[in-house]
Amino acid sequence: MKSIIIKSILCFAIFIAFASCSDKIQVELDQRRKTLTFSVYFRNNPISANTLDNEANRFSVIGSILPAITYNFKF
Amino acid sequence: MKSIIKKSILCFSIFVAFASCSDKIQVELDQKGKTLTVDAFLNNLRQDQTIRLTYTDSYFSGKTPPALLGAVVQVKDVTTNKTYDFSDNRDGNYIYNISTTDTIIFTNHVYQLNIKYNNYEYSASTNCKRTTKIDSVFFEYKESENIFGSNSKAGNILHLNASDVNGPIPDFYWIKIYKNGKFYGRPENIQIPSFGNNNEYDGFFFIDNIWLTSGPDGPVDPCFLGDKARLEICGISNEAYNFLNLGQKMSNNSGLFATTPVNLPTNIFPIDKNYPKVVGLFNVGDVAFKELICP
Repeated sequence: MKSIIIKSILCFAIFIAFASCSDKIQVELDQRRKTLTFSVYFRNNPISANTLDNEANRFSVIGSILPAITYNFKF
Repeated sequence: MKSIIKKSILCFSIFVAFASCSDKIQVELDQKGKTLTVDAFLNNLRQDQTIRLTYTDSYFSGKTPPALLGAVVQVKDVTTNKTYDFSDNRDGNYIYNISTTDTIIFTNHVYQLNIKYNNYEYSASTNCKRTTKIDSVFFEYKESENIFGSNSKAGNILHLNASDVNGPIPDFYWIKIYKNGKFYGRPENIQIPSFGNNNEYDGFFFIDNIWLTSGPDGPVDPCFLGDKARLEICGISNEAYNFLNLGQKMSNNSGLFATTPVNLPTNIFPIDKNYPKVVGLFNVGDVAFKELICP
């Protein structure tokens, strides 16, 4: 029983690690960048008192190519 | 021995799969043309009604968007056929002054917003949405605690006792919280309860510990002796609900499941299809409020 649970968790972890999107944006990004180990998101700075203080963040998931949000920016 | 190796591999796999980091980066965005932005949320409170017109600005500018001056702004009560002219305050705000005993907003009346500037003309139409009755608000002392890394301070938390209005139409609300007269309007403070697009939860109660979810800085800013807390429940339209909901998601976007930024929907349209488009929203709604001084 324990072995099944361990195997299930392992499979899930591997699935998460290698899960990827295959929509149009993803394909475009794939063509533009060699690596997809990071993605970009935009938000209002949560620690700033100024509600107009927006920021861009690069989000990297090590060992995964799961992009949270993808956009065609030049870095 | 094998078991230990398996477990080690499993732990390592999980660590690798979920390890992540986030860095602030500089992104160069293309400069687009300026677009008119309309902030027209009117209510039935006995106070001056304001419509704010500005131009859009760069996402990363961090400055107050430039004001639009010299526009002609009118709101028409279609139900009674009365027109209200808003005067230009020369700071982007267009104000209709009313006395403390008067109002121009009445429940279920249909209102039309007309804006003219630079030979362009825009129009929006909506009806005044009802709000609910606040049965009571009260304070509860809460000890400090650490929930999922969020350290809450010990202090008094405002509780709300109110329920959705029973009725045939779905209702949407915007709960606003003020502490000592200051409105807390950060994206995470926006609280927009709904009770189902098809009235699935008609008549249900609001979340009672509203201070923790939409209060000033959430759980870290409770009230103390003498603090004045004010809670407003504003009736909003379905369009306004979608607008705020999406805006909040855009502003609080973060992490692995962040969503792609999109333009917010609008209910303001140009009279002529060749006119430039506008962004923003026109909403008219009733407001119920309660104020309480912390004992």
